[in-house]
Formats: sequence, structure tokens, C-alpha cells
Amino acid sequence: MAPHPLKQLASLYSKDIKLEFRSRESLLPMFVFGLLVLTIFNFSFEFSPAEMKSAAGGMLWIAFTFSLTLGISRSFGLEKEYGSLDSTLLMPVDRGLIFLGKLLSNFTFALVQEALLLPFFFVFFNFSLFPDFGWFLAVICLGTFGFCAVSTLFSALTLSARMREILMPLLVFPVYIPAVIGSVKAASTIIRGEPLAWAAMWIKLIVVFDIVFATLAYILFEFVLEEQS
Amino acid sequence: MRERDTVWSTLSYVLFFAMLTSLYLIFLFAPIERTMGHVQRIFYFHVPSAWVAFLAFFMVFLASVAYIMTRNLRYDRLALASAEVGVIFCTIVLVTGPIWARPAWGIWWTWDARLTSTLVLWLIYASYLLLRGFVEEERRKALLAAVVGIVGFVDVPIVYMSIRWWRTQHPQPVFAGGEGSGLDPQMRLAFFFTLAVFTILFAILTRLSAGVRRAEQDLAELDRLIAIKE
Repeated sequence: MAPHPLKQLASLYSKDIKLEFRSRESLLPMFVFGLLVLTIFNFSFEFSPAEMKSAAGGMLWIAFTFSLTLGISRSFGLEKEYGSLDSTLLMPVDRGLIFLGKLLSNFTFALVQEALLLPFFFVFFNFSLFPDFGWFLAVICLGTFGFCAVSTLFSALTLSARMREILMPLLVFPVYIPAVIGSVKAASTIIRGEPLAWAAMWIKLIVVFDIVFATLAYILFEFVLEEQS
Repeated sequence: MRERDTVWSTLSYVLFFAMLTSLYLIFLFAPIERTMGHVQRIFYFHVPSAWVAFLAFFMVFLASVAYIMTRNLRYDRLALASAEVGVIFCTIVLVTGPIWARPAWGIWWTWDARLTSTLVLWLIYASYLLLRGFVEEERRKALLAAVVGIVGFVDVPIVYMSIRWWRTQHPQPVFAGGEGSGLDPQMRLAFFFTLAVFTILFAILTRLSAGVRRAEQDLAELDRLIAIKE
């Protein structure tokens, strides 16, 4: 008898996590690149502290998205490299579960990388903890989840493409724009210390984006993998 | 097959004369707009182009769904052809817009809901066209494109809503847009005539483009067969 789907999901997930944390091949470069982006921002703009508060949300989001971009094409990349995708597909596991496993492990990596970057953001831009910090973290999680949903789908899709590293951002970024708007707006509202109700609309927007694209990716994923060779 | 070709070529001739009529209606028949003057006539190109672009992207979506369901390359050719024509008309919208905006609003560009959404649309479908160059295998390419065609289209309303909350400057629709909307009857005639002309142009261009693609694929297949023979 096949194990419970949740158990299958857990083993798919832990496989990716183990692989990454043993090699640390993508997390470290992503983190250093994120630092670079934050540093370059400091050279590019000379803001007064008040202006800095307005711009910070956007800067943080650019640093996150750019450094995530470095890592996203790696998802499924290892499978491709070692030819283990075929064996994953041969397993008597629902394709949807393979997608969910990949999505969750990508999401975890993204959050770890953002958690590494966040303290530097606070130090570099001289912020202290603001009142709605919990909501700030929630916005980051929601925005990142949408990004992972879209990029996991496209990552599986572009396996046989040349120059995936260039192709991936070209495909993911335009689709991701609404979530960027929502995340930046919500994050900036919270950083400026404005009432949380002003951010509510933007948080709803990200939630809608997440639900729509996670569902769509889940449905389309089945079609995407079937012709893999 | 021949009969259908005759229909299409007749349609092309009809289109030629319809376009001349349309130019007459736009530049000589329709009255001069009171506040904006002659520059308003760009409206007759701007809005129909936008309509064709949206129609084309909707076709990409339908053809993409059809391709995923049937795996018939015919739908992939249709999707690609629509996307090509759509991007061209979307470019026309993005070019005529600023030309009109400069005298009407005093600015070339503003990050308003409709403008920004159109730009994002252009970006989505430009990358849709680009990605086809990155994949070699025909069916793989078609599948990848179909998924992007679907995801991109689903994104459109979300993009639009998000940017609308963000800010809006573009005028409300002049048709059925509530108070103060509506067009002079002569303007309306010029407009709807041009709209019809542009729609026919879209159909003809899409068909031609899909035909070229088909010929290319047939040729590649012949090449392959010859290579096997040798």
C-alpha cells in the first residue's frame, strides 16, 4: 500500500532540503548577491531619512527578488543534471505532490535567504523594529510564496531550454508584477508606521495572486511534466 | 481549400478599399474635436489597435488551452500568429498613446492603470515571443508557450486591478462610461468603421502568419525526410 500522501509530500520535501543544506550551493551566492544589491542601492541614491522610509520597501523587494532569481532556475536543475527526474517521475506519486514538494522546498529556501538578508537591511538603512513587524513578515512570506509558485512552474517548464538563467526572469517577472506592487505598497505602509488598515487592500491583492497562481500552476504542472525526457 | 483561399483573398481586396474609406472617414468626415483639435483623430487608430491587441491576446489564451487539450500543432501556430500580431498592435497603442498624451495631457507618459497594464501586457507577450527562440524541440516549445500564454492571460485582470488601485489618469471609456461619455454620431461612425477594418486586418494578418509558420514546419519535415533518404 502506498504511504499517505502527506508522508509522500514530506519525503519529497525533505529530499530537496537535505540536498541543499548539505551542499549550500545556491543559498550562499544568493545571500551575497542580495547584500550586493543593498550596497549598490546605497551608492545609487542619497536619501534623507524620511525619503529612505518611503523607498525602503521597494529596495528590500528588489534585493529579495533579484537574489531569488539567482536561485530559481536551480529548482529542478539538480534533477536535470543528475538525470534523477525520470526516477522521480517513475515513482507512484501524484504529479501534483511533486509540484507541491518542489514549491514548498523552494519557498523554504527563499525564506531562509530572506531571513539572512533582513538583519542587514535593518542595519544598513538604520531602521529599528517598527510596530507592525509581524505583519511586515507576513507580507514578505505572502509575496515570496507567489514568486515561488510562478517560478516553480516555469522552472519545470524550461528544463529543456537553452540559457534558462536568462529565460527564467524574462518569464517570471512580468507575471509577478502585481504581487510586486502589492508587496512593496504593503511593506512601505508598514515601514512608514501608517495604519495597518491602509495596507489591508494590498495584502488582499497578494493573497489573491498567491491563490490564483498556486492553483493554476498546480493544474498546469501535470501537463508540463508528462512529456519530459 | 481553394475555395477558402478565394474567400480570404477577396476579403483582402475588400479590406483595401475599406481602409481607404476608413481614412476618409477619419480625416475628412469626422468633425474636429472641440478641445483637442486635429490631434484627437489619433483616437481612431489608438483605440481600435488596443481592441485588436486584447482580442489577439485572448486568442493566444484560447489557442493555448486548445493546444494543451489536443496537442495539435495547428493551435500552436494560431497562438504564435495571434501573439505576433497582438504585440505589433500593442506597440502601436504604446506609440500612439504618448503622441496623443503630449498635447492632450501635457505629458508623454504617466504610470496610470491602463498605460501601465498595456506596458505589462506588451512585456508578457514580448517574452512569450522571445522564449520560443530558446527551445529547440517543436512540441516542447509549443507546450512551454501554451503554459505562458495561459498564465500571462490570467495575469491580465490582476495586473489591471493592482495598478488601478495604484493610480489612474487615463480617461474613462467613452462608450457606456456613464455621465459625460458618448461620441458625436459622425465620430461614432468613423470609429466603429475603423474598428471593423482593424479586426479584419487582424484576422488576415494572423492567418498569413500562421500559414508561413505552417509552410516552415512542412519544409522542416521535408528536410528531415530527405536527410533520412540520403
